[in-house]
Amino acid sequence: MSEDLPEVPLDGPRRSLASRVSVVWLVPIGALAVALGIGWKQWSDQGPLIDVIFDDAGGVLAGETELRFRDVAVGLVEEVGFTEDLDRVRISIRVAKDIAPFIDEDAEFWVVRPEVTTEGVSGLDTVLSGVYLRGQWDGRKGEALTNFDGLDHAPLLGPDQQGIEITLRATEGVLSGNSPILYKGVEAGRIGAAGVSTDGFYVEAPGVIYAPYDNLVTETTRFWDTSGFSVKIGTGGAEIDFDSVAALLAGGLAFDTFVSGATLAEDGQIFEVYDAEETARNSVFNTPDGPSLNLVAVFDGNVSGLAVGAAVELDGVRVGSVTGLNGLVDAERFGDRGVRLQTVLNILPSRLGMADDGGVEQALQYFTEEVADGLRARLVTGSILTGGLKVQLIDVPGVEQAELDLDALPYPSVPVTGSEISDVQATAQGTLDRINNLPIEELLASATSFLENSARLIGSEDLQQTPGDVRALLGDIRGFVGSEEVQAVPGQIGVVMSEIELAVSDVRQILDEVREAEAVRRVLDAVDGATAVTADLDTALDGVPELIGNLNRVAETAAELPLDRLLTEVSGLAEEARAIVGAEETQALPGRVSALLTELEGGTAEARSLIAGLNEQQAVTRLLDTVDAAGAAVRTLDASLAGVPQLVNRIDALAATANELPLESLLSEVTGLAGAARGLIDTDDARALPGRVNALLAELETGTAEARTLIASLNEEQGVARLLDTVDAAGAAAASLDASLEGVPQLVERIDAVAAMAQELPVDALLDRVSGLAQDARALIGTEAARALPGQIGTLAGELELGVAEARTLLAEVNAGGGGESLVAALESAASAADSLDRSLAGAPQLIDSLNAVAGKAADLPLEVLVAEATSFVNSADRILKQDTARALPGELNSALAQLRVILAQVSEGGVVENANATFASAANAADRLAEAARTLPSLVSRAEALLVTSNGTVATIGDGTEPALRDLRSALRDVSKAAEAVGSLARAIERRPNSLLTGR
Amino acid sequence: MSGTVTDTPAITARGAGLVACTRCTRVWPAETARCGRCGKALVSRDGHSLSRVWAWWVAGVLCYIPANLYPMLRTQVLFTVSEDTIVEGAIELATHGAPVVALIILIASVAIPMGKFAAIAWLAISVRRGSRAKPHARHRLYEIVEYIGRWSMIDVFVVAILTALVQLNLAASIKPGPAALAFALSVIFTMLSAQAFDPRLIWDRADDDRHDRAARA
Repeated sequence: MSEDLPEVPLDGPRRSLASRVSVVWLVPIGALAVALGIGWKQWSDQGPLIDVIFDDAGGVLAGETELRFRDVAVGLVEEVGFTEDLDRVRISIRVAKDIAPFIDEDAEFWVVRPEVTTEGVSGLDTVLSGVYLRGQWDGRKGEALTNFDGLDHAPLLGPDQQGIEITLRATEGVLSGNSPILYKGVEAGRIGAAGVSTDGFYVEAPGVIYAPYDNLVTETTRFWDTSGFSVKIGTGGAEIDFDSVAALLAGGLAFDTFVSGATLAEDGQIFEVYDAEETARNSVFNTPDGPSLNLVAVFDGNVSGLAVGAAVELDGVRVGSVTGLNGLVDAERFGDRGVRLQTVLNILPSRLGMADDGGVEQALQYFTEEVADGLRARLVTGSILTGGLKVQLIDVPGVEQAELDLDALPYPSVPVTGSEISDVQATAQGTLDRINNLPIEELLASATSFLENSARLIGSEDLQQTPGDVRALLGDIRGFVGSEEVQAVPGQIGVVMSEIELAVSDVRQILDEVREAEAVRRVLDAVDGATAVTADLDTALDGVPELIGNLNRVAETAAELPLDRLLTEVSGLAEEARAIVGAEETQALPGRVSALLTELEGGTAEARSLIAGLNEQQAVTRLLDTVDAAGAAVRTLDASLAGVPQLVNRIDALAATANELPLESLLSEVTGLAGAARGLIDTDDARALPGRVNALLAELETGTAEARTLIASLNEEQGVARLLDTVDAAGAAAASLDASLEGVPQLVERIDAVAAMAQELPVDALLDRVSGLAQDARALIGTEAARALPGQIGTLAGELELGVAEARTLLAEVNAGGGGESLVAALESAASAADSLDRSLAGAPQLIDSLNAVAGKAADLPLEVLVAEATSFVNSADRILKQDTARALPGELNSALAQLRVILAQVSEGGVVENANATFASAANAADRLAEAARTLPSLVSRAEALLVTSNGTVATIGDGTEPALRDLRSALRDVSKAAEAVGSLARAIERRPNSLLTGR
Repeated sequence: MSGTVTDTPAITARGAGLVACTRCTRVWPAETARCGRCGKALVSRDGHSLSRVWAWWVAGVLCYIPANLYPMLRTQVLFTVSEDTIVEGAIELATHGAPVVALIILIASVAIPMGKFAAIAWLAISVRRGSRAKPHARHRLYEIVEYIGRWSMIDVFVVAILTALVQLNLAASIKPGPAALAFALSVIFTMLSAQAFDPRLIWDRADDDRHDRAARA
């Protein structure tokens, strides 16, 4: 069966190549074409390979490090290798094809690395990206080279920078490389790396000056170092100078052209670098040295101090310097073997104003002539401080003839003359010796000790404290001055002055009045007497200051008392009193008194005539005796007053004690009392009193006139002689008084002792009591009856007035009648009475002694108890005062006064005149009886003495029986009351029978 | 004649005077020009197959050369720019302590493409010249090549992803090098080359060899 099957041709029909080859083959062919195209293009675009040779190739990597031109990559390092001798690095760089033609012979290559300098950081990007090569060439195509030498540093002038390149040379100044060149502080150029010149004398560095600053650089331009800073201290103060901080740190040069008009510098010119601007500036003017003339001068003697470079001066102008210096020993030439100093003087003819051309010959000619005229060289001190010397060419007159030795070797020789150096040294030496001999150590020691003492003084606490004290003192003074009191002083003084003024005016007014009343003379008399008393008082007052002191304290205490109210009261009282005084009657008083005085004057005149009569009968002598006696009495009084100071002291102490007493309450009471008193005064009756008194005075005046008449009549009737007798008797009485007063001092002492005792007493309680008593008294005064008293008194005064009028009438009648005789008789009786008194006074000393004894006893008494008793007594008194009876007393008194007034009225009404004679007769009788009584007085005194003795005992026993005593006192008061009543009844009886009063029944 | 047929393990379509559509696998008589079902031109054996295989193969190899010479990645870290070719990158990874990754890269980018080139060339030559290897083994090799070819693009993917991700501007950036494109083209061409190969030729040749052996016997 298989043969039946049709044969399937295994091979298809043969096709053409085009049909057999697949189109897919285009793909590999295209790829190949692309690859080939790329390869060819890359090859054809590839630039040439250049080789740059560096000393080292730090950081340069093949295939990575780029070549940049203006910071654009134009090539790539392909290979880093070595030169054949391995001493340098060869870097092969594939550069861009289009750039390659520009890389010709002026191309420069260097490696840019990160660089940190004082002026900043550069190439920082190379830290991360790695270093790169930098090329620099101009924009002109040239013959392409393939081998270059690389630079170690970037060139000073950049690709776009124009300028000139110069060489800077420093002989001794600092020339630091890679630093800026400044012109007036602006960077105008740069210095390259510095190096030592080939001959080893200089430091040289290339430098550039950028355009347009290159126009500033001329052949006369000077460069100087500005690194660091300079400090100058001069008369103008300190000066620190530096150009800029960058230059200070990095160094740098500055330049300036001090002279204008020079030609511009060219590339490659060499400039000297100076160490400072001043040097550079000076060099401009100092440099025209030109050719010089050398001379030789040989000096003898000590020439130490001369050095090379020392000045050579001609008439003070520096013309050159010493350039050579060496010793010279030449026995043949100088005749001895001494060492001499040969100096070479370098003279600059230009300094002499000679031109450069032929200046040397000109100068030599000049010196030849001058030496012939006496020019010599000598050494003088150039500097006293350093001892440096200089050579001076000077004309010396009268010197030996000499010439400039033109043939001397090595240079023409100048003759010399004596130097001027030893004198200076000697003088200086002498001065130094003197200074040396000064006793400076001692002076210093003294100064030291002085300073120490000063320091000690200044450092002492007292002195340091002084300012503080002074300040405190000033503060106090200021505080004192500023205090309100001091400030108020002027005002107060003003017030006081005005017060004084007023007082003066018042005094003047008073004086006027006094003068009118002729009071002066009288006052003088009174003053005479007062003087004596004052003398005594003086003695007695010795202790007064202390008393015053105590009183002062009392016053101080009192000051704290509620005086206001009291003052108010007193003030009111004063007002009232003033109202009274201001009443017309009161105003009329002086007139009255004046008239009275006139009368008295007249009476005195009479009395004078009477006294004249007395004179005739040796009255004076007698009177003198009397006065003597009185004087003795006064002396005795004086003596008795001797104890007074002590008494005063006592009182003083007592006052001190009183000072401590609770006076306030008492004061308030007294105040109230004053108030009450004022109320009392304020009554109409009180106001009427002055009028009454006035009238009374008028009457008295008239009565005085009458009395004068009476005296006149007495003159007529030898009254004087009798009076003299009376005076005698009075003198005797005075003598007796004197004697009796002898015991007074002792009495005073006793009292003193009593006062001392009293001082120790508990007065406080007593005071309280007194206070209460005052209270009661006030209440008593406040009663209507008391208020009525003034009225009563006024009425009584009125009655008295009437009575006086009557008396006047009586006197008139006496004058008319034989009143004078009766009076004389009465006087006689009085004289005898005086005699009796004298005798009775003889016993008085004893009485005083007894009193003394009593006082002594009293002093010995336990007064405390007594005071306590007194206190209780006062209490009792108080109580009594509070009793109705006591309150009734004023009323009783009133009524008694009323009775009295009635009596007086009756007296005035009744036949008083008629009874006057009888009265006088009775008076004579009474005088007789009085004389008789006086005669019995001694016995009375002795009795009194006995009584006192008894009272002594009583006092002594007071301490025992207080209550009984009080009881007695009360009964006594009751008796007083009864007595008052009795008085009342007596008054009534007198009313009924007025004569009984006069007749003595 | 029948004896020869009995030795045949399976009759081929061509032997049966038929031709199979390679798209919808329907069998048609040998003379049929086009598949009546899907419309594909029917060819019993593609005479251009080997030619196309070689054409793609050549293109692939051409592209593979720059893919290895040019840098695959251009890595910039700060100011440092590094360009690595595939092998350099792998070596660098290995030296920096990632030998496994280096091995993967080497396998994926070097060993596999090279192996593919070799495998395809050998298959094409063996179809033409004959081979001692069994048709089964060769067919298996062809399947492996066809399967594994697509994974060769892994290197390109890595480059693409890295390029997209690492763009940190100045700090770090990665850009694909020219090798990436070449490598991708190489892989593509290699795949096309593998696809162009008609595996039926393996078996045709096997039949021929057997007929030859039978005829000689």
